[in-house]
Amino acid sequence: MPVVSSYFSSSQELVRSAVRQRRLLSALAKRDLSDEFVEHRLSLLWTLILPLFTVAVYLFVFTVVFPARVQAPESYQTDAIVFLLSGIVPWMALSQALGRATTCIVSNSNIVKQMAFPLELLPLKAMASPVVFFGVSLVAVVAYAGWVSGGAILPVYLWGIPVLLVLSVTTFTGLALALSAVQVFFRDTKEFVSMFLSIGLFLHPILYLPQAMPSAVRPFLYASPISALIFCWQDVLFYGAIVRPWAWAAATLFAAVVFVIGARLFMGTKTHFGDFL
Amino acid sequence: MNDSERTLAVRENTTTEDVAISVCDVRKAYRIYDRPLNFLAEVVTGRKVHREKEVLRDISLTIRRGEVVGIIGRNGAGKSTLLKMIAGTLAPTEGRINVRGRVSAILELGTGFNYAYSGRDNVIMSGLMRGMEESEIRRKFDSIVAFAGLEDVIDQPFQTYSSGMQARLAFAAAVAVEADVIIIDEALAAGDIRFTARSLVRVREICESGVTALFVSHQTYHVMQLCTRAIWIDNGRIRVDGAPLEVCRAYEYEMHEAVARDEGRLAVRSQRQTISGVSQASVVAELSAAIAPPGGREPTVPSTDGIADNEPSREGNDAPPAIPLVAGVRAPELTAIANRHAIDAGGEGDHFSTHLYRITKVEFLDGAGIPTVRFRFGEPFRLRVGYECLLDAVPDVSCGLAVALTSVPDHQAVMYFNTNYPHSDAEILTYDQQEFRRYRGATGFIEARIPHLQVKAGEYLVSLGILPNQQDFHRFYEYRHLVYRIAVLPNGFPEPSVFYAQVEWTNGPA
Repeated sequence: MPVVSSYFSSSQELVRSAVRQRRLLSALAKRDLSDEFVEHRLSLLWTLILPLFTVAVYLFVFTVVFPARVQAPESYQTDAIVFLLSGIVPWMALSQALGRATTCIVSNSNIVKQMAFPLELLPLKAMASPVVFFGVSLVAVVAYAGWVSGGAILPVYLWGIPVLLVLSVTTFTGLALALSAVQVFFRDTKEFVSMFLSIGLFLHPILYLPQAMPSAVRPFLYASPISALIFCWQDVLFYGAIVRPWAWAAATLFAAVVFVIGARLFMGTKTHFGDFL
Repeated sequence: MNDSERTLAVRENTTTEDVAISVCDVRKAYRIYDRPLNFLAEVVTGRKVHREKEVLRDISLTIRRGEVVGIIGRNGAGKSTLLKMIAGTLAPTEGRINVRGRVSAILELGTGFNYAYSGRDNVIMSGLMRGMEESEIRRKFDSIVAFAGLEDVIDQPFQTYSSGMQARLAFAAAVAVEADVIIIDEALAAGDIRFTARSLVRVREICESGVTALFVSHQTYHVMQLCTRAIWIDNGRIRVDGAPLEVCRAYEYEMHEAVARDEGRLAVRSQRQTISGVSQASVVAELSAAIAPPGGREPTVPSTDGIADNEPSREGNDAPPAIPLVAGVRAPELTAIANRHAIDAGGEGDHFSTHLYRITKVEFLDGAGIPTVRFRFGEPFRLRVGYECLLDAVPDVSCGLAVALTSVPDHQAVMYFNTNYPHSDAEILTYDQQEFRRYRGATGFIEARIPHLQVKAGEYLVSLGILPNQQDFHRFYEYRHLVYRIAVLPNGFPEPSVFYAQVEWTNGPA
């Protein structure tokens, strides 16, 4: 029991620290968005152009070159483009979140060692770019799906998108906390993460329906917790209804567990970071 | 040891409200994992799989509010680790550290600065990262920039600044943070001389403003100037904790001892080379080269030759003509001295000694030869130091004296004079003919006479040491650091400067 309560107190501590230092967090996040491209004329735009362009290329390939064989639901006039977007957008957001967050402690070793600084803000601020990406691309999805469905699907989006945003960002934050802490002690972590992110796009039911996979492999597809989250997004954006309730349960449970464990791992080991950098 | 008593006394006299920092039985050991994954294995299984490298142990400290504490020690002694643990960037392996109030730590300049952003953005961001409110930063912004002297370029990218400008801005931004406890690690050396002076003033203001300050410096001079307490960390432990003067003095002695010990080792090595067939001459050359000060003066008549000419060697010509530090003493004897010294090193703390010569008496005299410690500006000052040779054979080089006067309380070096420093080429040529460099005896007196003492009225600390009369040599036989306190009284009107020249004037038609 004390073990369990220590897990919850870590999460509490993390949330309290973030709330107390929300000004600093937002300043850090703002800067994080422009950091990489500060010398470029389009600075903030570049953080969006690359992922949006990537999304556009996937759409082109999988609607024109290899058309995805998906059946639009009877109730709404959505199409293959909406289906693809409903999987690619959360996946790209995940890539954005984990790509930078995994190394956020290691690459800021001087802050860790030389400054009395609330380190948990580092993985938290890395959530800025996936959130902005989510925002921009969802506006596009809403506009397109609203147009093809004649506005019929928009009421579902009104509740579905906020709920799934919270669920997704919670999941990403938990993963970012855990991976950034593990990266300090095990430097190969980021290679595993980038491998997972580049291959995972094709091994999750993002560009195809799960039925397209041979049944022998299908259990693995369902076993990934990220699949559950993708199913939820597809439910809302493409089907316009909760068609796989078990996926919603799994995604919610996973978000909660990964956040609590991530917070515990990070808060429990952060005092040792300085010794390993 | 009296430092543990002192710590205890401090602990008993303080109520908890007074305490700003308490460090309780802290030990810090870095864990060494053969494989990085072992750390995670340890977390998961709870089984210990690491080796330890201990950097600090048995550290207990109570620092009261308003104390300004200087931490000194050699490289790698654990000073920075202690500061980092107090600042909270490292966790102690064992023990507890409590710090009351807001902490601002300047462990490294420029942390969190981004080179691509403007100076303005960086000041704001680093302020936020150090825990300042936006309004506080806005209020102080102009004074930060003015302090760094960068008003004209503050909106240009940080990377276009020179490294001195970068350091200045980083220092200015860091010291602007208002805190109850401020921790500074060697940040005083930033920028040019003018800025260093300005930052020293700022640090002094901070120290005098009543905050608790803690800083590491290699300059015992800074520690004595700024601190109300000094802690000497040696080899991971608190060696001495007390008044800055005493602690710094003990530390300086240790540094001299380390140098002497290195010389002992050198002698042992030379002896071995002699045995293995290397010629005496090369050993002498090596020793002389090692002991001679770097960048010797030109034209320099090699003083070893001079000594050999003046004083035929008592032991025949097989002995080295003159090894500067202990001329006339052979290597085995020197090794014995070094060993004896090593045994005594931890003992008496009031002076540094190599046990080759010792000071038998120190007298401050006025013009009439009457002992006193109170002098008057413009009147004579005499200092008489008795010495005794502890060796069986008196070295071939005469015994000299070096004296330094340091003002109280700011520890400015005011005056330095000695017997072995030639002041002109002419003096170099006649170096060994000078009367006061020719006497060699088992015992003797050196007297320094200043006909008109031209230093400003005030209190002074005197450091003095006896050493071989070897040109530009600073390795002492015996050295007493800041031991004697004398007073200089005004004579008529008070002098406005540290040194007041006695001037002869003329004024007339061109």
